Amino acid sequence: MLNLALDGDQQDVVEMTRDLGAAVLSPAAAATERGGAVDPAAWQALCGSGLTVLLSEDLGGDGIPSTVTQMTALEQLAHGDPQATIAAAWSGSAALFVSEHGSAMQRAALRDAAVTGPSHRGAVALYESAGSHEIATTVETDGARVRVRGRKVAVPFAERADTMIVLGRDPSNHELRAVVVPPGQEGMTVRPRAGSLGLDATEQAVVDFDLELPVEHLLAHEGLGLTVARHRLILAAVQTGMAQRALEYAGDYASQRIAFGKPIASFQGISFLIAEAFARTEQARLEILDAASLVDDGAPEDQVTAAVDAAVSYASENAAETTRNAVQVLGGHGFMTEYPVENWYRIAAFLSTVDFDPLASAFQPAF
Amino acid sequence: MSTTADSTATFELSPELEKYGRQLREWSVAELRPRARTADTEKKNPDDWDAILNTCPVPLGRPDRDDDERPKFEDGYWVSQLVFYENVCYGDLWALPLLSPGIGHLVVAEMGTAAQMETWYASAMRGESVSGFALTEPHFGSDTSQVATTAVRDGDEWVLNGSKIYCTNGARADWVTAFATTDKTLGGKGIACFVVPTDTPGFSVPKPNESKLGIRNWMTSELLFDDCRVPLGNRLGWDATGPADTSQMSGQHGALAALSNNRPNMSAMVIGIAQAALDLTSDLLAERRSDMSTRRWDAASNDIARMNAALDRSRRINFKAGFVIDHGAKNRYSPAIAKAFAPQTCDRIIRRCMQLLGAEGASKDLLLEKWYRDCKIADIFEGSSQVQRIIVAREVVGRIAG
Repeated sequence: MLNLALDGDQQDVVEMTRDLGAAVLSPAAAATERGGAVDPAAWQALCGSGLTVLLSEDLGGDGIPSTVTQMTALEQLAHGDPQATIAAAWSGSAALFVSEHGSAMQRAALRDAAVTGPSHRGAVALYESAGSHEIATTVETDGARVRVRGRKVAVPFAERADTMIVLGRDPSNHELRAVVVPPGQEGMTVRPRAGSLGLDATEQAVVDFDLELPVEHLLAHEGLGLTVARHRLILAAVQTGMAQRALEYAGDYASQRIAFGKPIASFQGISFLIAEAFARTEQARLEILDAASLVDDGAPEDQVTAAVDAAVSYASENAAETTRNAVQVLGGHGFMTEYPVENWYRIAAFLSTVDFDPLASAFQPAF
Repeated sequence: MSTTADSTATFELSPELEKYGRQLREWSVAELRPRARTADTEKKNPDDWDAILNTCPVPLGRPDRDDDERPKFEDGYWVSQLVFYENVCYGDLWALPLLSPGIGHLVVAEMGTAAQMETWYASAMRGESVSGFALTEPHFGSDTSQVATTAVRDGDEWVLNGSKIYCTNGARADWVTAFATTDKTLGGKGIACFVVPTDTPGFSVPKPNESKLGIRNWMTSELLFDDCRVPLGNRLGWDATGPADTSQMSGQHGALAALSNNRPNMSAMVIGIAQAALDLTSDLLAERRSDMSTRRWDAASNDIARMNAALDRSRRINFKAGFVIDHGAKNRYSPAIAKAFAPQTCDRIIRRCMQLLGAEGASKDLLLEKWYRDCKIADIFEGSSQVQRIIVAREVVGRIAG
């Protein structure tokens, strides 16, 4: 039976995360951007929410929320500050991989690691030059050893992650594999961080792996595809929360800015930009909800992957275009760093490069 | 089938102009591009910009030199301008303000008397002075009827008071064309334009540059007029005794008309940058071909072909706009279509290029991310694509289009 209503707990989460975004994250966003690192108070608030570091109860966590709940929450948090939110969510996602797929030993190590503490950072090394598609990194088991070879991009907190999960494929059967790589592991080379178009507070970098570890570092691979799908939806949810914020910001501006004797929102050249942004953002939200519910239902991996591919592609395209519309609505002001929209414009475009698939969309000129 | 002998239409440039563009492009890649990152990071021109510009093998038309006039081509002045803007920006656009006399002289051309043309327009065209354009104020952009800077006549002088923002080159101009209202009750019709030399007492630059998304080394200045006095004849369309016969245009109309001729140049600027992004991306992807599946390689190749086609489309409407100005058959829609299409299309091209390369495509190790930030301004300044659409709609259905 079709049901698009959030349950009571989910409604509470929406309210809590919306408030947290407005009260803590949004005021700290400029400091996070300026410093190139997430504001400590914002980080603490995010980790304390139980919605970024996903830890099962036996590991001292709040339990793992459903994918629908998590994505709904991340969207609200990103409405406050997309940069801090995705930094914390990407970091916390490493704990999810261990919670879901870790051995008793791996889980015990995570329990002792104080993963919700202020200085702990996690990383999931998933994306490559071709996004999350055609993963070329290999994870090869040979008796008691596992060998990891490959190159990962946009690895958050690459230089200092306490828990690093590396995704690759077993060359013998092409199945997904995940390995826990200890900090400072020999054979892991982090390229110097050059900085990017945006999102520098995630401290992301390119990392080369060519290393061997005891086979105990492998995570169990049953259901790994679903966890990867869930991880990929973080990006889509953050893009969508940011798009919502940008279009609301543009809407407020357009209601107050006067031109030709009336608020510019009364001109269709402006109101249509905002309307299309809102319409697309609502559609992106539903597409994420659909994909997230398939993850929660444990649907067949092919079906889940196709749904996530589509949701990520659309959410990124929407965020890039919606933040651009927001800059357009603000005009010259939109181009100035005193206003937040230029930062959202940069973040959305950067994120749109991370999990991109040329097969999911085609280039379109202005008209 | 026989060919039609009397058809002479072609988009082919004269060999001379084609060669000039090619030389500019090669020079821009060799000399401007290596300095692009630093200009962006430090938000200023390189200290040795003069020496860098001196390395150009062809004349650039520098306003700071009198021996550097751009060659004249049979293709026409405005068409040649388009070739200049595209190719000089192909390396990077940081040097552009150093190569342009500004756009203030275009306002003089629209609204000035013969004597004012001789004094101001001719000096800018000869590259002897740099002009600034002071129209936008904090409370308005597109709606130029809201000019709040005032000009009050006091004997033989006009006294200007008010502040202007987002004036490209304002901090390094020799003179600016400042729009001010002589009578607020007249709305747009009360707006006039005044030439203000930047050494006039009462003129100052409180903020030489803004903190911006892109074009960070370009001076985007805030200007202040504080009891700034200029001679009566510095009002465009006037002489020392009062209104001259030559111009009955209101200042508001003059501003928009002057901007219209420069719009295709701004499209050519982003076409150059987007082409650079596309060429760079094609090269990088070719190196990766063996790592890509056939279907993703094909998808990327199709995208690149579509993007090149979109740039060619941008060039055609641009050349049409330049051609009609050069031939005195100026229309309002060609430059408007050109500027409505290219900036947004070029933003999308650069973004798609970054996407095709993955997250490293947006890294500061490459210039794509800078070009993405730089390009955005082209859809804002000199009339947004929303404003251009209104101009185009009015061409079709008249003033009823809003």
